[in-house]
Amino acid sequence: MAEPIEVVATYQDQANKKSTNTSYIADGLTIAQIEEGLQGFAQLIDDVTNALINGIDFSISIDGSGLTGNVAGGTSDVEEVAEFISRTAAGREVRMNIPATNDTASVAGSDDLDQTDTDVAAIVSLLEDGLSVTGGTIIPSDVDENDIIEVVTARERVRNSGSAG
Amino acid sequence: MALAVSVRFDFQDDKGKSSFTKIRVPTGFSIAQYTEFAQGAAQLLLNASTASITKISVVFNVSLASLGLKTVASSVSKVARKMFLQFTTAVTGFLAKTFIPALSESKVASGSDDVDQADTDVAALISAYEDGIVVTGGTMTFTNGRGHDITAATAAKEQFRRRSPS
Repeated sequence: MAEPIEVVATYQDQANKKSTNTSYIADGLTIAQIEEGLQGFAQLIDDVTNALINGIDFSISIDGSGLTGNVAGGTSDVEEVAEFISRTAAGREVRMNIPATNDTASVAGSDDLDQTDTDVAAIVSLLEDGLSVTGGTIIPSDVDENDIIEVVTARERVRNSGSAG
Repeated sequence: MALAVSVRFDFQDDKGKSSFTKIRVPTGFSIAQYTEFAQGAAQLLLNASTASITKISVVFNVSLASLGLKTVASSVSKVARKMFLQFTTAVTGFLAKTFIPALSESKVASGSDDVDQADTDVAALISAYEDGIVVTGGTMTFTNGRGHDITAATAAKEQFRRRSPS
């Protein structure tokens, strides 16, 4: 059985406190059908709550069982991240961090990631050129859907333990 | 303007610590195409990481513009006052629960913490959970977290909770 689609609605009251409500819907519909259904759902919950509905997101779980080598290495630490800073066609900066970067992926004597490394180069290509999918190409973007055109910086960074993302 | 779709990848290292990263991509593709992208990108991220990937998800934002929803919270609204709804599902013994924040007091039966299921708005919401919402070419049906179809409401109560339990 496919996992259900998770729907999270976010609310805000007069004191600006926020809360969420989680529901689940069956899969099998198109994105347009789900959006239509959730717009109807938004109106139903708006009628019973006296808070503002700030947003509704739905999340589809993707099957990762086909990934190869999906085992954590013995020296892996999610705090060590590979940070990629990119620029979009609109000139906006986009940051993406890969947790638990490989220590061998950086240039000796530097925290720069070695962009001649096969795995690093593949990430740069993913961000700049996207991935071909059946019937098209999906290119990463900023929040306003402007395509990434260039990776400006790729370096190893360290996050504090306990920080998210 | 539509907001970009987020593709989220959750990682876990050898010590059991978790983290995640997101890649934003444009709207306008199908679920099958986003799935193909997410799986391909996951493999590339995995190759560049020493952690494992524990979850991949694609998150869409629903446009609420032009729906005529409230634009100001009521002066008596409190997100801690929730409508607790419990349902049976198509699989015996497996329930579905949800908590809707800032329940309007007018939806609570007098002298009780029961939500008034005879209220038109409450009845419409419960009906949506039970029977789904008709959309162009189909019906969007609600389930519990295991994917079991919701069948009937068994409880509708006002409950106060500081955090969202669902």
